[in-house]
This record gives sequence, structure tokens and C-alpha cells, in this order.
Amino acid sequence: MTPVTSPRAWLAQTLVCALLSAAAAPALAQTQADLFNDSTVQDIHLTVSSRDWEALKAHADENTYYAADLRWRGVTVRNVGIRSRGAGSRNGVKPGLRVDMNRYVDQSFLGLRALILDNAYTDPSALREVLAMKLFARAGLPAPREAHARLLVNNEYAGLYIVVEPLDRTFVARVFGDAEGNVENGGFLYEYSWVREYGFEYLGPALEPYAEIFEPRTRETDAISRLYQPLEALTRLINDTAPDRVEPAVGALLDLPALVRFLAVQQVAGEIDGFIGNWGMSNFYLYRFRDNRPAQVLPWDADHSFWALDLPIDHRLETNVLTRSIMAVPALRRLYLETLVSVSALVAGGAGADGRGWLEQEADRLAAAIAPLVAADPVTPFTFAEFDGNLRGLRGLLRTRPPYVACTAQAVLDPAAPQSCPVPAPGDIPAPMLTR
Amino acid sequence: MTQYGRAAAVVGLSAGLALGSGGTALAQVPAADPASGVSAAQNGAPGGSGFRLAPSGRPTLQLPIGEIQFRGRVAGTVQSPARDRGTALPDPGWQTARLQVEGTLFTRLEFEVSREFGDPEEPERDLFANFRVTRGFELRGGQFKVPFGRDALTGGANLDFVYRSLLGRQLAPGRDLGVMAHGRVSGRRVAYQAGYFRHDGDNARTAQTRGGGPALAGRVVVTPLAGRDTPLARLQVGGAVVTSRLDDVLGLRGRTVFGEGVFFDRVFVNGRRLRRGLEAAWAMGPVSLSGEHMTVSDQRTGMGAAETDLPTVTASGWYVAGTWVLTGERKDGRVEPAHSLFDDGHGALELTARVERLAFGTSAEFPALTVSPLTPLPVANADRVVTVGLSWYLTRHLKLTGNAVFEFLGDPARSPEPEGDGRVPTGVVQFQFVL
Repeated sequence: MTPVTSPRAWLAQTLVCALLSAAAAPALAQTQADLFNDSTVQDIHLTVSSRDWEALKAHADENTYYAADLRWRGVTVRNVGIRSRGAGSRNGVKPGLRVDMNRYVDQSFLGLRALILDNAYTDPSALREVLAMKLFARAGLPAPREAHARLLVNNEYAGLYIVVEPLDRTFVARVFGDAEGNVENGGFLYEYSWVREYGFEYLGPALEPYAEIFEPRTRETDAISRLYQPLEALTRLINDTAPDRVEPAVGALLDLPALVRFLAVQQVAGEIDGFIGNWGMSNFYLYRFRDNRPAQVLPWDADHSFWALDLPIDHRLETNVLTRSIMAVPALRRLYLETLVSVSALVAGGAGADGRGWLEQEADRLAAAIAPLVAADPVTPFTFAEFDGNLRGLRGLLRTRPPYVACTAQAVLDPAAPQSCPVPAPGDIPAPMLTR
Repeated sequence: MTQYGRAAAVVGLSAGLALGSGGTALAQVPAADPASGVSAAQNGAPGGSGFRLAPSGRPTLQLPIGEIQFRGRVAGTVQSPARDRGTALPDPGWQTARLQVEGTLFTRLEFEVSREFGDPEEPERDLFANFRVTRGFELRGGQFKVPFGRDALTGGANLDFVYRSLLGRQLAPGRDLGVMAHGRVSGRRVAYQAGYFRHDGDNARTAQTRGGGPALAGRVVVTPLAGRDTPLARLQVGGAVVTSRLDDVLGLRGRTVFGEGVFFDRVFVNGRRLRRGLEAAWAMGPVSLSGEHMTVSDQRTGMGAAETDLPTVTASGWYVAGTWVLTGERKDGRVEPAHSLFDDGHGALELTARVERLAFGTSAEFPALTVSPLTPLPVANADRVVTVGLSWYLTRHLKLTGNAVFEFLGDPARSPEPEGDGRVPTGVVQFQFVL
């Protein structure tokens, strides 16, 4: 082989080496777990043109996207799409935001295709959403990960937000496995869209009414019959099945034990705008597995948890066809009551000498971290005094509601148990602030 | 070994072979066999067996029953900063690092195996055997390119631009497993290819999507005036068709030139996929012209409410490209510089330009369709691209190409530059080594 001595040849080799070195640059090691690590408040930076930011706030009722750059701990994603989001919390002062990484460019952020920046606009404590999802996860149910965040828009503090893991096929892959998150052969994820008060009544054989309230979030363009025929069949079955057939028939399509657990968590949390909300069903997703395993209900937008101190344990269960059917099955009703007891124990568990249970301790820890940011929040609708007062009420609820729920459930389960459970006093917990 | 490690190994091997013992080295050694370029010194094996360097500079293993050649190609690019790629600095990266082994055994049996080291997900490229019954009838089996699209079928080493046309990358099927009859007839004026493939090519599928089902493909290219003393002697015209099944799968996606922007997202399709293409090419001396037109239609049979049909998703596009070798060398694929840079020459310079357009939408067969939440219509969009470039062939193995790419998206709101007017200018420089 002829040795290489020519300067031109060395030039060519150097170019090759430079290309190699540049291409082999190591990637940053931040992960999703770091982003949703709530032991610290995350700093999320958005760089967006001032004109676009003002336009987004001025037209907060619209879903118009604007281009922005997202930065977190040195990880920058350029050219993401941001838009206003939310239902009752949607406003132009402190807009809730959806950040779509691949709106304009095929890219992701730590493997996430999108991110939700919840504006915590209806909760003076800014804790309820996070605490509720913690409870779901602690109870063994799939729930979005969340952490508090200081949002900086063009390097200016734009308010305390909650960074929320969106329910999409990335989430599905995380909690149910990669195969379920496959873009083509994965399962079917639907977001329940509140249009009117509804409780699983049969809507007829046409598929349009189901499409109106169940918006596909995976396989969005798949055949209509694949998307909605199973929902029509499920709804028909829920309405037509006698109590003694609910477990084998409805249970074949819907994971009833998991739903019972879901309902129990929301009842312990005193949720008033959830699956059995005061305005019908709201704030949940439905996931149909790719291999036809029973579908599962997933929690979403739980900022109206921990509002109702004295909500009865069977609150509004009779108003929903599905929960009414479930509670008519003795085994499922017993499971519900037992789960109320065990979830209450979760909330109150780990109490020290000061009487604070696990969730109250979590509330205190998070409150201490966000308090300075609440005080400095330039666009929050609440004063710091309201935050502080509401926090005290929340702590009271976390301390008194679990024993009340457990006692009430135990009284039904065991006639020998005390049948009189003291109803917690409202104390200084403020009235719900729902705007719907 | 990481992909970069493997790529580095290929680069090292290739660069060593090229720079250390390239064309100049061959020229210094007297060839014992003028026909094959084998020298006694290089051959080094009795009975005509052993390693040698072919006239092309490729290492070749000579066997009593035939020969095996080793080829390689390495290419790296540096792209200008652009928002659509999220880069604030010039963005270097590997484009390809490929090793290829091909050979002929028993005179009539040919084979080819190639592996892409820069693609950890799908490293296998060609893997086929070809049996030549006659020049007019050959049989090929294995994994290779489905015969559709001139640009798509052009080898990477022979491309005139840093990137293939949008048609070649997105509408043409790409490679798949199949069998194919092919040959040249009518005094080599007519070339034909007809094959059956297990799926409809890797361009239409990803790690998570299946693409189309079994595909039938046919292509005919005619050189009507071949052998005649006319400026049109190297004029070629042709057409191709591929049809395949779609079984509730995700269809084609419209991507921008650099791949990061999606200007038309895929939707589920069901029924038949039909690809149709026309092509033409002409060359004379240092100048060449080529062009193609393609359409792809994906049915959505039974996907509507009450299992009615939804509008067919269509994609159509064209390109026209021209090249001119400024230093006068004959244009026939990759330019062979008359005076290599390492032989005290300056290599060859080639000016290139291409205009192309790719559009996605739905068929106009459903004028009375009522759009409802159950029948969302994919929103049409198109990408128009102008590419101008200059290629510098330093040697027969080394090439430096600069392309200026100007993209114009029909719907700026779905372009990688949403705040602009849909115009995305990008500069890219490619360094390519071919063995």
C-alpha cells in the first residue's frame, strides 16, 4: 500500500475525522423522570415573539398555535407549537398551555411528544391536581406524572404552573408497554369531552353521538367502525345487562375492578368534577387495549379534588348508568367499600406524632416549595392570604376526610362496626369555585 | 461497537484504501492482465486466485469460479443552521456509511450484499442473487429495490444532488423482498423489469408501521435511438406501475427535504395502493437532463360511517433536473475526472439544478361528501423545492458537493417555519467517498 504523504490527502483525512468527531457528540442525559421529579420546582423557559404571546392571551378561547422555543435545564427544543388550553380554567390572563413538540418539526422532548402547562387557575392552593394524581398512582392506577414549574416567558416570570404529562401514545407506552403505544397497531385512547350532562345512557346505534363525546387521541384517522363501534357496543351492554350478568358481560369490555378502584380514589379525594361529577361525567380518558383486554379509565384534570369534606361515599353513584349497575353487583359493591377503606388508609398512612398522614405530608412539602413562587406570581387570581387560607383548609380535609370515609364504608361492610361516623366540619375550606 | 464506531471503522478502511492505494497506486504497477488490471505482484496467488485491485480501484477476490468485489461508500453532511431542524450552529452528521460485496460466480450467477452502518434500525440493504439466462431474460431474488422511479433506482454514488428527489424518497417504494424477471431486448433498446414483492417497499413503512402488502411491479424503459448517430441517441423514456394491498395501515407522509418537517401527516388507509410513474432522461457529452412524474393513490375502502368509502388519499409530484460538467468530462452517472486532484490536476466540476414539487391531498371523487366529525378530510398541502448545486469530483473516489435548497410550503402554518411565509432556505455540503 502506498503511504499517504500528500498534504492534500492529509486535508481529506482531516475533514473525515472532523465529521466523525462532530457526529459522535454525546447526548444530554436528562430524562422524563427528572422533569417530573417534584422534589424541586422545575424551571421551564419559553421563548416566543412578544406579538405571538400577546395574541395567544388575547385569543385564549381559540386553539391557534404559535411557534416557540422550549428550554429546560439546558435542553432546548426549537420550533415547538404552543396554544391555549383548558375548559373552565381557560383564560387570557394566565393561559393554560399545550406545548406540541412535533407541531412543525418531527421531534420530541425527552421522548415526549407534548407537554401540558396547567395554569392552576381554579385552585388557590395549586396543589389539588398534583395531590390527586399522586393518590391515583399510589393506589396503583395509571396516572399522568406532574410537577410544579416556574414558567418563564422570554426570561420573565409568567406564573406558577404545573407541568403535566399528556395522555397520549407515549403515556400509553410507558404505563401499558411499547406495543400498546404503537402508532399503527397500538390501542385506542379516547378523551372524554364534556358536552352535556351524561352518565353512560345508550345513545342509539348511530356512531356520531359517541364520536361527539369520545375524541380519539391515538389512531385518530382509523376506520370509523374500529373507533366507535366498540363504544356503542359497550354503552348498549351497560344499559341492557341485568345485574347478575354485569361482571361477565360488561366486565369483558371494561375493567370493572380497576374502575371501582378509580371511583374509590375520587370519592376519598372528594372529587366533584370527575367520573361521577356534579355535572355528569367529566375529566377522564378511556383506553381500549389493542388485544381486546377490558378497557380502562384514566384520570385527567383533577383540580377539583379535595374540595368536598363531607361528600357521602355513595355520592351521585345512582345518577350514572354504569356506576349504578356496578353498585347493584354485591361483589363489586363490597370491593368498592373495601377499596374506600384501603385508599383512606393510604392517605392517612405513615402518620407521625403530629398526626399528619402521607398525603398531608406531601402537601406540606410541596406547599413549602411553591409558596415563594405563589407570592411572586404576577398573574394568579389569588392573593397569598387566599393561598395560605386554602392550604389550611386542604390540610384539614386531608386529615379529617379519610377517617370519615373509612368509618362510613366500614359501617356498611361490618354491621358490628360503629354505625355513627362524625361528619367533618367544613371549617375554613372555601366553597367550590367552579365556573362551568 | 456503536454505529459511529462502525462507521469510523468503515471510514478508516475506506480512506486507507483510497488515499493509500487509490488510482495512482494502480497506475504505478504494470498490469499482467490488461483486461482485468491484475498484476502479478498484486495477484500473488497461483492459478488466478487471490486479492487484486480492479481498474475501478476496488479490492477484488479472484476465485477459480468467479470473482468477488468489495465496495464502500461514506458520506457526511454539514447543514446550515435552521429553525426547522432546531439548530443554531452548522449541523454535521453522517448520511451514509455502507459496505457492499458483489460478485459473479460461474459466469451467470451474480450476487450482492450491502449493509448500512449508519442505520442501526434497518442496516440491511441489498441482499440478492441474479441468474442470467440470456441478456434478455434474467431472474433476481432476494431484497432489492422495487423497480419504480428513475431517481429512486439510481445508486447513491451516482446521485447528482446531496439528497434524492422527494419523489424518489417518499413516493417510490424503495427496497423489499421479492423475485423479479428483467432484461434488455430489441437490440438492448428496451429494458424491462417485472416482479412480485412481499410488501411494497421500505419507504412506506417505519419501525412502527407496516406499509402495504404484497406488491406487483413493472417497469419499461426504452432507448429508441440507441446506437444511432444523433444527439438523441441517449434519450430514454419509460413508465412504471406498482400495485399493492393496504390493510388498515398508516399511509404515506409528506416530509420536507431534510426530513424534519411533516407537511402532510399520514392517515389510516385501506384497500389498494397504486403507484404510477413516467420518466425521461437525456445526456450528451457533459450535459444531462432528466425528469419524472409520479402519482400514488391510497384507497380508504369501508372506513367511513356505516362502512362507506372515504376519499382516496393521493400524492403526486414531478421533478426536472439538469447537470453540466464544466470541465468537459462526459456525463454518465458519476463523473470521472480527467485530471485527479492528487495527480496535479483539479478534478472535475459539475453544475446541477433541480426543480420539483410534491403534493398530497384527497381525490375529487367525493364532491357531495358531507364533512362531519366522523369523516375528517386530510387537508391538502404541497412542497415545492428548487435545488442548485456545484459538485467537485476531487478524484474518482472523492466528491464534495454543495447544494442550496429552497423549499416553499403551500400551507405555511404546517411548515417547519410557521412564522415565515412557508419558505425554508437551507445550505448543505456533502463529502462523499466512494470505493
